[in-house]
Amino acid sequence: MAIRSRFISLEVSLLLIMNKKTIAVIAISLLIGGISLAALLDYYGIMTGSGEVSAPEFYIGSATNETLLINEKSPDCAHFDLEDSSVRAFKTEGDLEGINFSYIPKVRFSVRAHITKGTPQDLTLRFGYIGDNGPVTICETDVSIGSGIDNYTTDFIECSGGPINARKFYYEMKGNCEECKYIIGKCAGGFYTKVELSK
Amino acid sequence: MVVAGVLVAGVASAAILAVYTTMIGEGNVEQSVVFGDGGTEKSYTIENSSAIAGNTYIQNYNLMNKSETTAPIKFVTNQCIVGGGYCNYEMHDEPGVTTSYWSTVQLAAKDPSNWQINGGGSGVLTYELAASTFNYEFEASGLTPNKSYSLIYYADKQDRFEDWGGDNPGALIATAQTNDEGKISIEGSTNLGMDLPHKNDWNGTSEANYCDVANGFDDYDLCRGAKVWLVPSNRYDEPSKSVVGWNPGEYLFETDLITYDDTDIDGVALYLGTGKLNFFVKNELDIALEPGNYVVKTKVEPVQ
Repeated sequence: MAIRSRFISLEVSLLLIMNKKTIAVIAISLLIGGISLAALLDYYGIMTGSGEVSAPEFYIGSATNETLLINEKSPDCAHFDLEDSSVRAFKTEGDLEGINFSYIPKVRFSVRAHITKGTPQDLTLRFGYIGDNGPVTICETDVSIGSGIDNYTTDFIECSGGPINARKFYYEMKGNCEECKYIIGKCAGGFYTKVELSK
Repeated sequence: MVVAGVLVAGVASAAILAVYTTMIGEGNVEQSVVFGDGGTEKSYTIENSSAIAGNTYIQNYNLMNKSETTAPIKFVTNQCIVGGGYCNYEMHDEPGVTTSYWSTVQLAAKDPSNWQINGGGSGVLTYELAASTFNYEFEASGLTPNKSYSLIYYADKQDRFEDWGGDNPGALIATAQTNDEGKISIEGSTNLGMDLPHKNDWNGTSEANYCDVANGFDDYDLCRGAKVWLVPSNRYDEPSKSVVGWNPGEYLFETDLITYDDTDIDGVALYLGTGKLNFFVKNELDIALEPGNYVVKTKVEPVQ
């Protein structure tokens, strides 16, 4: 009976030893796993930049060469003329290599101008792009210009479409009067003749 | 009999020591690569007022490798428009946003007797840290007018003061002509076909130390890396990638070391030696980018 009892005791002890071993193996595995996780960083550092991005703006560059600047204010505030029903189209320089807008922009025109004739006269303002098939005007409005020099800014106007394969953008001004002259300034006192886009 | 066996086994177990002594080491291990101020997270505003589509914005940072071991790292970028559904992605390229990582190093005329800047000509090299080609902008002034110069990767050997020339292996980055005022202004891309520093270059090894005047002369930010020099083209043998003749008064020397990952070579890993790497994040916004709130997140990850 005593021998039988000792056998049972030994079996229990072995079972206990095995359990301890099993527990130890699991514990060590977890520890190694933990150390491994701690040793291998996912990353050393994170840089997070954020910001509100607005649509581009276009300013008159050279009046003589009729250039249009992207996101760059006019380098000077010189004036230029527009007679009767003539047209002046200011275009961006270089080939933009086919720009596609994923949204239809709204456009706000600003112009500093006056006319030499007493009665207010409309000045047609157009914004568009030159694509594969030539110029495409996507936004147009008329502004009534008086005889005194003044700053004119329209509301945002919904355009007819977004630029597709645009190689240049243009800001066009067309006169609508007879025997009169529009005098247009590129800027004055922080005001700029420009086109602002919005979503 | 069984009891006796168990007893013997017990005695035998007690007689054989499992361990003689135990040594326990403890220590707080710090992260090797951190930002220059010791931090690991940085936030920046792409532009303090509103960023405008069509413009490019940069943000300066620096990374410090505090360890003695060169750390292979990579920049992992996620760009998204808030509300577009991609801001929780690990990697997403937002169309119209291009993010890249650049660094600059100044080149200067030096007095070879003490290797201090002597106030002659100078130059600034701006280069992309990781790309399939070495993309750069370089401006220099105070040079001989109307003369051809070579911008080179100068790779040292171990006995660099005796066996010099920069051809270990070295590379020509660009050749440019000065104008009437002795100035150079160029930009371009060159396929070097190697990381900088090259694995043979002694300046990238653990023996090199250009920080804290450890070598008797230099106090650079990056202690190991690659040297870039500007030398007259008639003093450079392109086939052998060697500087010919010692005319230090005509050269512009490095004022810090650089590191560059040719992403076509050995996978993507920028090898950051001990010291500090000054760099900037460049976010280019396409003119057709839809207006909205954007987030650009960059993880600096270890490369295993």
